[in-house]
Amino acid sequence: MRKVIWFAEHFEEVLGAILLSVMAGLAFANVITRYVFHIPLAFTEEIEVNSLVWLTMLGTSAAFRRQSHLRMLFLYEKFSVKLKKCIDLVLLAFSFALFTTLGILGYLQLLDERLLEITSESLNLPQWIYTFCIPAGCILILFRIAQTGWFMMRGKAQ
Amino acid sequence: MSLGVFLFVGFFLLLLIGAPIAIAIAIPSFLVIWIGDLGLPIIAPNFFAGIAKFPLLAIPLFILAGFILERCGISERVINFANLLIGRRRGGLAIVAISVCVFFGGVSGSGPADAAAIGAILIPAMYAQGYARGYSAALIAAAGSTAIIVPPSIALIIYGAITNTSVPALFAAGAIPGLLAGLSLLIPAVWVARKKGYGAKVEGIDVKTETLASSFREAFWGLLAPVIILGGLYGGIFTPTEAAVVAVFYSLFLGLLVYRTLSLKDLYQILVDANQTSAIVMLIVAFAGLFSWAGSTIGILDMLADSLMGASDNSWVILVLINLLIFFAGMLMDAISVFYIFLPIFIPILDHFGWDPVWFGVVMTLNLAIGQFTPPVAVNLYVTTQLADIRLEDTFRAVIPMVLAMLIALAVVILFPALSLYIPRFFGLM
Repeated sequence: MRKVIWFAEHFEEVLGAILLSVMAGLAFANVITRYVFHIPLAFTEEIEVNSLVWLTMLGTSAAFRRQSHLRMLFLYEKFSVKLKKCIDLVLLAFSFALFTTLGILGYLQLLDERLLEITSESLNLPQWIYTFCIPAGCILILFRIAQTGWFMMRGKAQ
Repeated sequence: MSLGVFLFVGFFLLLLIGAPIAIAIAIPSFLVIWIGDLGLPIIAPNFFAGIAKFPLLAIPLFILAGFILERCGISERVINFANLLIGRRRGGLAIVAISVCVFFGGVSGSGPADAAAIGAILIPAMYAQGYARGYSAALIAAAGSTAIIVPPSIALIIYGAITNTSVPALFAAGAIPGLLAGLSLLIPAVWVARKKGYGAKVEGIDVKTETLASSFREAFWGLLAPVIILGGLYGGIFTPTEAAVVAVFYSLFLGLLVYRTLSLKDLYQILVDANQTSAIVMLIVAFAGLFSWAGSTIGILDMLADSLMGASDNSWVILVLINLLIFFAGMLMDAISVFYIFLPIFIPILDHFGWDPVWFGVVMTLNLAIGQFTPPVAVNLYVTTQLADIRLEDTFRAVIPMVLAMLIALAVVILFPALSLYIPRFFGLM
């Protein structure tokens, strides 16, 4: 049970770590095949480049949970505890609206791509397979934002 | 016009109250695209295309390589070697701090992380040798800032992607200015250390290996890392992405087989942290791209470029104005956002005066590096003062001479373009 809870709390981290190692492995395999066997694996490029977007969505979600996004604290640190909490909650609400919009727009984009049957450049895969990461990633991020907001309101946040 | 003002003012207000940079940059962009009827559907494909670019693939890989190198025990070994070589004299540790920071700039691509890794070891050691905490925090923040100019550099990768400039050429161009920036810090650092007698009592850093030769043998594989990464890039053998992945596997080889300091659990944590750090960078990249798209579509960026060029016919006046602008922007923002917001304004000016984009990239990045440790905001100082457990204000006196010294280095790099352009030309990269 404890393992299940741990996984629920960290699963984007696990996925992100796996994805990053696969990307590094592919890129390294590419170097080896290019210099040793002189066979470039050009098709891996498309997968790696599109994985970057997945990597960004997963990492952003984890960063919301850990509240580790890059921010400027110069003025913020001079505010009172109450004001800090207010600002944090308002910013979380803004972020929530932002990723809701992005997720919906991403989903509409995906529907368009399915309708027009757009395919990717080098592998000729349906483009929507890649675009899928925007709405899916946004749902994950929204969940983490809501979770962080909930903890913050109950005064549990670090 | 009023939308343009809203775009910039909204961004700065959000930034000032402490919004994450990516959020501060995205919210006004989304609103301007919505209110200005620029077409909301552009947002999703623009977001996607902003991240899914081949040159950007090098970013998570360089971040990963940097994290592995930092945690596989190379920092201790390199510091130990540098300490035995030059550290055991008055002001010696200050020289060690600067050289190690510049060296780490040569294997990883971002500033605050380097400052944190090196500061964690050196700040306590410097304190034990009688260095004032404010001085150590200031010095490591300043020296750590050179990481964004010393290749490989994430900032230069982004600059290359925005301006369509060759990243290997930029990496070659950053080498001499990066060293120069480090050297410029030596003067105020050593002068103050000698005057105040810092490092007169030699103890503190625990010397594990007794002789210089054995400490060199220990550090050797680590010292080789920048040679492999940069040698492969300059020689035209590797693309930046390939150099980054070679760096990842080289550092894994060190951590798992040579030093045997990394466990699989460490490796998992490194992957998690590297993923998060790259995501924070890439999210800024994606939203900042949207910001500059919105800004140029409503015409505010062209307008700013025109008014900047209208300020004078003299290219030197414009150059000074641009540098002042970058300097203040760099105090408030990270290098990536500055590039996305200001480069669309500067690119027409570059074309107009015929400035070399490689040289300009180096100038802009070096200038941004100075902003990273210039009070009162200073990201890097923020990191090192936390390590030293002091207030930001305690570093101000010590940091001002360092800011001035690096500004002089910047002036030299501006006045002598050959300092930036000699190496890329020598290797035929531009």
